[in-house]
Amino acid sequence: MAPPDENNLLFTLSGISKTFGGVTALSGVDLNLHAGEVHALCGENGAGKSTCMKIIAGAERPDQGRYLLQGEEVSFRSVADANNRGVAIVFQELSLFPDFDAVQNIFTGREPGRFGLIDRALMERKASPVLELLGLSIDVKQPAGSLRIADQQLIEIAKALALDTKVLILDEPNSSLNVEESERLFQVINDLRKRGTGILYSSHRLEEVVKIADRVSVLRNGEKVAEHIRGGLSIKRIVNDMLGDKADQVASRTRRTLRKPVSEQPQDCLKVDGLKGEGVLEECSFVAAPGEVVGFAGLEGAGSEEVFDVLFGRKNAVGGTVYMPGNANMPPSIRAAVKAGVAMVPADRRTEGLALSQDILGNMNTVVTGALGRLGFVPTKSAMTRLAAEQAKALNLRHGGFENEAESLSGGNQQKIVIGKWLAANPTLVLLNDPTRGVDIGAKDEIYRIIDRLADEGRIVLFISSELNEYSLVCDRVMLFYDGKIVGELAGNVASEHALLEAINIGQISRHESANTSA
Amino acid sequence: MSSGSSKRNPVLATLRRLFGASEIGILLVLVVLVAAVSLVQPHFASIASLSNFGSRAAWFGIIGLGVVFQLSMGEIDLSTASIYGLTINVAAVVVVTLGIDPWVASALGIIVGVGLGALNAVMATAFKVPVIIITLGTLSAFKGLTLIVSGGGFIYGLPREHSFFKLMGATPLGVPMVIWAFALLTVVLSVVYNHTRYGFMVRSIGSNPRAAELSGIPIARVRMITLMLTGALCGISGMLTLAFFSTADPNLGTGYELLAITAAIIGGTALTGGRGTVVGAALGALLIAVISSGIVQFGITANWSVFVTGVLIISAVALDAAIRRRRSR
Repeated sequence: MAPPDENNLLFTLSGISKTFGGVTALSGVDLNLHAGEVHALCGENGAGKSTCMKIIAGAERPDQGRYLLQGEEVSFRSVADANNRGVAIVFQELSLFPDFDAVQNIFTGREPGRFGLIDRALMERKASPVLELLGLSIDVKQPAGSLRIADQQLIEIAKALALDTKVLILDEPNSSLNVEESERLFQVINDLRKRGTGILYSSHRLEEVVKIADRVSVLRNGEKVAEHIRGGLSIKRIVNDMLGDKADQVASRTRRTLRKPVSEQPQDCLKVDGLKGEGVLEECSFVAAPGEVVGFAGLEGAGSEEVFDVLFGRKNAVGGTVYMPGNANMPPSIRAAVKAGVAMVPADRRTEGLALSQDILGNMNTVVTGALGRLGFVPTKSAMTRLAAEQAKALNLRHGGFENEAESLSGGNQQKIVIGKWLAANPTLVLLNDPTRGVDIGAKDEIYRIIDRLADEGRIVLFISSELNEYSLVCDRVMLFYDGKIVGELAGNVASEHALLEAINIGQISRHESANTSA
Repeated sequence: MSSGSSKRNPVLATLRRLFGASEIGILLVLVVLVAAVSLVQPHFASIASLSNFGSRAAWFGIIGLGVVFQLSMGEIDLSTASIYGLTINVAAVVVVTLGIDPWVASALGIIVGVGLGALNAVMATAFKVPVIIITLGTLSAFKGLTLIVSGGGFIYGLPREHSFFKLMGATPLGVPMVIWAFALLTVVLSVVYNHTRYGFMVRSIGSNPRAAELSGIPIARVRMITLMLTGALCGISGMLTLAFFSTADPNLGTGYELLAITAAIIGGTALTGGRGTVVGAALGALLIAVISSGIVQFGITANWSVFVTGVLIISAVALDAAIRRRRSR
């Protein structure tokens, strides 16, 4: 199975297997990469993508199989070892030093200099072509922690490129980037491809994979099940390969009929009138009724998240009025919001949603037993267990016992705990900020169904997603945020990814779409 | 966590039910140490001798019970020993100079302790800084107040015949009152830690303060309760100390803040928050006291006991980290 152009082959894996404590992560995987090629690796969480990438990058060693780098068999002892041979990886989790600036971060651990003194001028000279290539227009003396996530991501890539990298591995590089920032990243990937760098790339966003990949390999349960080349790529085929026989369930979720609100009585609704925030939010008015899911779509910084912050008592409003359901006032604090029946599933599950080192039982009880509980004794452990069991059943949580740490679960199941701890408090207003971030396709589908249920139970659900295709899957109406204002509204069944992408970028709904709004 | 081994061994199983898995190790170490010292010096196991090191453990151990709550919510209070000293001297001064009833004075001492804890909490919340930073300051400030109140020297002339000193300085069944109080507080606070909503919130905050805040848990209020509780414990320990010695000394309690933290950590309370044990802290305090008393029994100079205590802390923490690493595999 020699590839046609053996000459520019960067690496070849053949028959790579890896097990962790009896669990097979990879089994007999073949994979290769050419210079100037973008090779995407797709698969559900747990399919073996990360393990595969780590083996190539020197972070893990295979149990079996051969790894040839430019025709020579290699066995890396460490990531640094691989770096020296021109193989570099950018992990999904950023690993910058927040107090160091961009240049310091790029050269951390191998600062150039003489006599033990760091040569800052030399560092800046060496860094500037790389930063230029990436189109990073930042003050290089600013601490990395104060930069936007997208810029931090680019610094991670700059770190790799400063090593004279031939093989660049990007693990979910845009999981925290917005549309605009992702575009910039793709520009960079394109430029690198033209320079002859080989890029191995993994992403949950299949539309992007289809757009930028020259080749796609699909892993399922540790095995490589398909390889497609450009021209033969389609989201549908990749999804089918990724999911195998699970594909049918996902396909069933397409456009659906819009829900009718359970009640349109003013006292049951959330009414926001002329809201102005202390940040980017300029002007925002809308009404959301119980039993409907209202989406907030917009680029980062367009104001949608700030509305969430105000409704959850996290930020103050400087103007306008909020009428909470049940004639309650705008919550002055998070605690007041929680007591008023507001729930928020934050975008960053790991740092804001869960106490990862706490057991599942404790996490599930954080709101009911913690924030809302009666004073005095916690009822009993069995009452806490009952609450957790109820939610675990309703949400189809897969776990190995409530005494296990939240961290031990997969992303999708962790997210179910976050949702469960709120549902146990029976909220009237549910704010969902990117609830499917970083969860696999099967879990996404489950979360969509949970959202359906929230609406069916007569709650008001507001929804933000970093994936525009989700709006039409879950929302009845979508508010379009642009530059701190709501500039329009689309019905859920016409809020296609295409329509939304255009609208949030240009700040208005094209005539063709708005004609359908009332449909 | 309760694995198959506890089913096979009924003694171990009972111990586990009483103490929980994390406290068993330290309990065994404690028993072995006492037994070892007793072999060399048989009178070490006598009630008098055990009471002696038991009281020494109780004075800072009672404070250590509060430290478990602090560490579990991710805070460290360095002013506890200074609060302890101040409560003793304030109570002694009002009795001696104002002639106030010792019972009233001891209540006042505890109230002062609660108030100073609240003051720490108010400042930490108002200035938005960790408690350790605030108490770095109040450690000195409260100590300074103690010196001012006491005039820098011993306070004599307390009415030793008064019922307060008779009762609180008594040794029912041969055991000093402070040890009875220590035991009672350990049981009560262990229940508070594990079975009350307040204890649950303390642990939630320590596990992930951001997630706790975003779940509506009132962090400032919980911090206030925790520091007031610790202040009250400083006051209680202080009043029992006062009853025991019947004199006040501005230097009483020097170094107790670190011993209290040490007791909690040896006992199995995580410095990173979210996880702790009140019973473990009590055992930790006893262990520290056994080591410092026991070493003297072996004819080694008391100076070595300070060194050995240090080595012990490092061993305990290393062991704890090793156990957790193994469990997370």
